[in-house]
Amino acid sequence: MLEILKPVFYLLIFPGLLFTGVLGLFFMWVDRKVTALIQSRIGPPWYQCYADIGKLLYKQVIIPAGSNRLSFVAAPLIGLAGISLAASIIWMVNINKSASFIGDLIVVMYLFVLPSLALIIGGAASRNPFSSVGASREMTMVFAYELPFILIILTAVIKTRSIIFEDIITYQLLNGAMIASASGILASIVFFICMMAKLCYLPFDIPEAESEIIGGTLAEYSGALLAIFKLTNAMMLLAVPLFLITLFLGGIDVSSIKGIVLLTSKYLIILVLVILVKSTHPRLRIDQALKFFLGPVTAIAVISVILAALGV
Amino acid sequence: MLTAKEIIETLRTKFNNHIIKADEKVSNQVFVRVVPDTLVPLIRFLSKTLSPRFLINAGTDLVRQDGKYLVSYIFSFDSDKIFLCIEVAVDAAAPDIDSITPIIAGANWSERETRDLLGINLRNHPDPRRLVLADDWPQGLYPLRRDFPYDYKPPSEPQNKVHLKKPPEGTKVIPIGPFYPVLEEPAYFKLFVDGETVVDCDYRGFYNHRGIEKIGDTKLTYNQICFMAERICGICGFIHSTCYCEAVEQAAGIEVPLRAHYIRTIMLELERIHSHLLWLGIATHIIGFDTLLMQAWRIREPVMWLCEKISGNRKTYGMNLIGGVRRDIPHQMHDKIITVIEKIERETLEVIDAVMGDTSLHVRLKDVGILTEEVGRSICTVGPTARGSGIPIDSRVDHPYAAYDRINFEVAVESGCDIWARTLVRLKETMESIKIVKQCLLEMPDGPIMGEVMEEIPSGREAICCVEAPRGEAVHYVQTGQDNRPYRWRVRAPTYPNLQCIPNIIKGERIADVPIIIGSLDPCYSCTERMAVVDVKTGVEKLYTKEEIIKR
Repeated sequence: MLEILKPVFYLLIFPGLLFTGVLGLFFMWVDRKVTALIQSRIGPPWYQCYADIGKLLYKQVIIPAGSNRLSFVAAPLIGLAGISLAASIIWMVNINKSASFIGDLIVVMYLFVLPSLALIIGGAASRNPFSSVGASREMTMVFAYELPFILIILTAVIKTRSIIFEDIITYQLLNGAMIASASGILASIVFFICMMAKLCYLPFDIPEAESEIIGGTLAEYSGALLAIFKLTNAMMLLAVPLFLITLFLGGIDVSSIKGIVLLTSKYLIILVLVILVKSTHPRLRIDQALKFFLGPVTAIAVISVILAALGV
Repeated sequence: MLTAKEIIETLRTKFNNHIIKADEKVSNQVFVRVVPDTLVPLIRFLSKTLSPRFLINAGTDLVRQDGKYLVSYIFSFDSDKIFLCIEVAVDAAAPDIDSITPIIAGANWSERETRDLLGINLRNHPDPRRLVLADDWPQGLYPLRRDFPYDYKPPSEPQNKVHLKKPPEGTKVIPIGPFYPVLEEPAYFKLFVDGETVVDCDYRGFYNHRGIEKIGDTKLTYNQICFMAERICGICGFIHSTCYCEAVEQAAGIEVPLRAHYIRTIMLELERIHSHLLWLGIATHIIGFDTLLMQAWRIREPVMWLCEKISGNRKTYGMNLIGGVRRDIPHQMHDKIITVIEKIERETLEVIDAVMGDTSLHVRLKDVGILTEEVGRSICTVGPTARGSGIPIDSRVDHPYAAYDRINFEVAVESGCDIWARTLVRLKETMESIKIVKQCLLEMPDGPIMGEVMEEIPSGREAICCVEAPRGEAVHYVQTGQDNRPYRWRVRAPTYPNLQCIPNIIKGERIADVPIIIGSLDPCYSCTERMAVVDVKTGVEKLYTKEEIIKR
């Protein structure tokens, strides 16, 4: 009986939805606080993100007249399910390497697309011009950054000759973190840029563009459904950098205090970089972002693949 | 360099029989009365030979005096520091006049406004639709006529709705407004787009009329209008009250003490500093650069405190009166002002450095929203919008007022013609303003702050004044009258000409760039729309819902 409940526990409580969600909201606060300090503001108190979610949960949910109700409600849930599963797998393969399974790398890669898919479905279902523009921009962005993203994952696969997380982590334990190699550092840079787009942060917050299309997909969402989107974003803020750490920065070790400190510092460095980039850039136009990803970013990704194939 | 006499001479030699009178009523302000039929040939001649810049036209109801409406076309000879006012008196029985818009594109709105408010019919106007009046304002009712009571509330006639242009073949309509997230005031741009590219647009604004001019010549007194004028704009109000006061002072020949001139200059420049920093914040917010927004507004805040220390208010200082100012800037405050200003100078320099070096800003702002010098001149754009396109006009130099004839400063002109050029102009101007404030504090003489004002300001005089607001020049035209109030007070805010160039500069641009292009003009709709008689807001909104219900 307990054995059957175990995966449910992994997914919903630890290390999945609840754990990643609570931690993600905390780092969301770190993000807001540091951004505020950069902008010479005071910033919110530490519990602000929890309070936001709590407040949204008991607010009325308004479903716009004429929208596609089923997709409108299902969209945020799809996103949340995807990110919970992805987060659970990333944590589990690191905590217990035998939890890894063949092709889990590919699975995680696809699960990370689900939150973007949720935005596209939700935006298209909203029957609001701003939301539809948001959905179409999100779609363009996914096309733009997925190609270099897949290429750099290919770099990791070529280097370790495996599509299983366990092998990638073991490889790094034996040979040192992948970022120390030429191909690894290029791949990490590309991953970081794609991560900014995945998190929908400046300069790539084009699908949300608060000052142009008032939040895009989120324009029509309210109450619990909006809370789910916000929670998904918070979990992304934790899970995507963890994916980067697992692939290129030597993996996650939570078995010792030293490991936890190391993990926290790796994560915080990435987070601070994310915040710095996002608060020192204006928003690009969608065509400029498209050119950027399919031009220089993809070129760097290709170079990284070639270097990996050459064994550098 | 031309003189007023030469201008009169030139016009006399060419149109002698048609000129009723021509004189220099105020120094460097020429008023020429011509017969109505000569108007178009004369203006064609002017624009071909001397090519003055059109500012505004104003209509005055003189029916009680001589059964005529007076229409005045105000021009500026910028480098010669001269205003020229061509006046035409049309018969009240048949108030028709030939449009000059085919010659001067920038006269478009102004002529329609005169038609809407005074009922002067326009012949050969390329776009004679209703401009200023509300959609449900009755036909044949003209609020600026003297027999129209200022508090009359006419019945609603929804059938008069203005019909915006139909989209050209193969284009879709994208609405920007009437309320749009980043453009905080009501204005409606109907964009016609082909894919992502804007093909054309139409504009409907003037949702925010307050009937200020009407109240000015029926209800308020000379000194009350100073405070009303300051409320024309929420950002650059002091500009309007200064401009009004200077116009009345010039018309009546009132001597203003030098110290009052310096105090006006200081307040005007403080206003420019905080307005430009405000704009920088909004513009960067439009393109999502919120860090710069927060920093620009943080730097701006001490200016507001400073203004509060000086005048008692962050905004709307209430310091101007005919003949001088009401509040002194005592010596004890000079150090305080210098400290604040120097801190702002340091921080603004840092921001300018950051802006200049930010390549991602260049990507969004360079080569976007091109306003060529030619278009800029034909639409008669003003202020940083014009100076960003290489048109070197600045009324602080061209028509010096307050203490500007004693101050050394540079006029920032850029030739880039794009948003980036307009940004550079504003940043440079902020630094110049800081210098001007410092220089004023150093050179300000002691003395009274209020001049001798006669018991009764003589009636029948007129004068024009231009004041360089942060957005461009504001123009006030005053005809003095009886009962201690002007007979006619005409206001033109800087956004009025600037907004008219929007169809030109968004043509061919992408939709995502439209907000920042509109934002780059620093538009201020409420200043532009100071003119109808009743609050039409609710009426208009009701009408729209009705129409929409019928459509469905």
